[in-house]
Amino acid sequence: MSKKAIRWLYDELPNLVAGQVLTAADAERLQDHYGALDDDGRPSLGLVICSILGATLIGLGIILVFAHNWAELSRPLRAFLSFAPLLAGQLLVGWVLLRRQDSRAWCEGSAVFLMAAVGAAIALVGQTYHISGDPEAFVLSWMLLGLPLSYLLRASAPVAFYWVGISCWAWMAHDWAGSGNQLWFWALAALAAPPVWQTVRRDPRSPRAAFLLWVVGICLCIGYGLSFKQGLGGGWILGYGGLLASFYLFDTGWPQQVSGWRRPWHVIGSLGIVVLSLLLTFETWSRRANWDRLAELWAQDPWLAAHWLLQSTLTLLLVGLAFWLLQRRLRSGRRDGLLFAAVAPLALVCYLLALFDVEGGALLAFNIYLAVLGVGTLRSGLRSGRLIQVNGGLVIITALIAARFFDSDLPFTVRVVLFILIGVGFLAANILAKKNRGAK
Amino acid sequence: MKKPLILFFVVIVLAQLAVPGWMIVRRELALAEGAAYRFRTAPVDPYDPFRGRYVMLNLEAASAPVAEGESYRSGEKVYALLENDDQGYVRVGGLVRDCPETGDYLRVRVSYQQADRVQLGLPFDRYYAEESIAPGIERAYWKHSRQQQRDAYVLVRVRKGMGVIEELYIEGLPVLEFIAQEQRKGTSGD
Repeated sequence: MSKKAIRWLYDELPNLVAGQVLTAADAERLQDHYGALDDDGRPSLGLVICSILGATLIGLGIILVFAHNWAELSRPLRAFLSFAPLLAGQLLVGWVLLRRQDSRAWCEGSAVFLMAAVGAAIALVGQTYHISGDPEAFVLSWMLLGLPLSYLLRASAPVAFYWVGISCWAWMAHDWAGSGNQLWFWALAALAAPPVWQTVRRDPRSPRAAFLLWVVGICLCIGYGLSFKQGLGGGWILGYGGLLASFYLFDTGWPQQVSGWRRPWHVIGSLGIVVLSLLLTFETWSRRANWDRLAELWAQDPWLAAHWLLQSTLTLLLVGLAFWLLQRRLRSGRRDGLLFAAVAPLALVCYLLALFDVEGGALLAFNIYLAVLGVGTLRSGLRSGRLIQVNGGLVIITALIAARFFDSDLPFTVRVVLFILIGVGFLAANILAKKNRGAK
Repeated sequence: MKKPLILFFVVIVLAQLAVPGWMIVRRELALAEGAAYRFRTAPVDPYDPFRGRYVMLNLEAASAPVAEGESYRSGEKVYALLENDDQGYVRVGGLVRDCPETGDYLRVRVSYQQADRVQLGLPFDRYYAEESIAPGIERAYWKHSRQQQRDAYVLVRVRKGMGVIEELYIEGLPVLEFIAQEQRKGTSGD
């Protein structure tokens, strides 16, 4: 139970005892069960956020002051001054380590400030010596020098900053010609995985864990997309199917009542699955997979083939992970969410259909899947009385119908009638769900 | 604070100081000991959110001839051999894949190849300037880079494959001096 809810309960206990709803012994047992409210042990979220924002603004301000490029200062003086924010940040972190290691706000704020100072120092030296713009090298060295701060101070903000940074790096490093540089994203991501894992393991429902999982989830989606190259044909569908289904299934330990923003991978997974499936209802899926071309590719260009092999391995790992999580979910006896997770096996079947030249098979399969997903979500929402599920189901069905409008020649009047019917459906389903909730 | 934590902190501090420090040392060495070459330029005036205003240097030497039968991948790292033309400006005499043992050279990346010429990404293509001066530098360059009057160039010091800009010259004067001189002329003209 959240701290807010426990506090409410504790405030209510005297009234409940006075109103003879509970005995004093019951109230005491409840307090024993939930334990004392330890306000000092956990920092205020607002204070941590303010310290991070404050440090970021100060760091950016310093960068802007130096970016002015003071022409009247000599080169050696400017080079020396480039170190000023860096040294200030290092002194601050040293002081925090010695005196304020227990304060989350100080740890996060000082780490963010030093991280900004590292970037500023490299950029200022670049400015002083007119070093050409190489944003890839700049971002990479900045991120690698900043990441250890998250280990040193157990701070989350530098990890989040690092994940965003390496995603930007992968975007800058990727080129469709196939140099494969962006594949290093995965090695860079592995460096930042332990602090994320530790935070999530310590308290999966904490705001810190939720914040990190949001950032990491979005960055992984971007990273996989950038790692991909056309040579793998429709393999990206397999990989994204595996990745999104894994995200969706990852939340086994989270109860349904936890709000969406604290279950980031669940939200990213479900939204991603709907978007991916919707996209695939448009795809003609004409591109063939190139599994049989490996030997030929190897002879032509070993580097390209190695790149291709790495991508294939990554894709297979993601599919394998989704299947492993799926069988764990089945073994645990939980049946909820299987419809969403079915995207991984469906993508595999469709991929095989494409391999064996079954024209349009995947297109049809994803149209049916999306319709079933919409109806299933709507039904489940109506049963449980959860409005978000009801509306989610209706949005999926509407999106599918709207998508088919684009590639079919339905008369205008039919379209109008269909949209009115969908609108009526929305209202009816919401009223029904509210009634169901009231009945419970 | 525990000992391993202190050690870890010291390593991080040293690494964070070493990267910009090493950037400075290499460039100072090139400026002090490197051979001087004059690169003809054609600047424009963009902005870098981190490093401020700069003048984009479009260097003539960035386009180099390719030996017959040779082809280069986009992004490939090569060594550009430097030589002076009869007017005293630098040009790339040739490209090699292995580090040359003699002569001056630059370590560069191939941008793209077009028939018998290759476009190189030279390691110095920006001249950073204060916000108020950069547009003046650009205007001055355009005035001095027409076919009839081409007397703008960048003096670059080259050492062990690295090139560092020493100064941007217009009419034989360092650019800031040139701008100041133009302003003085403008004032006395009024």
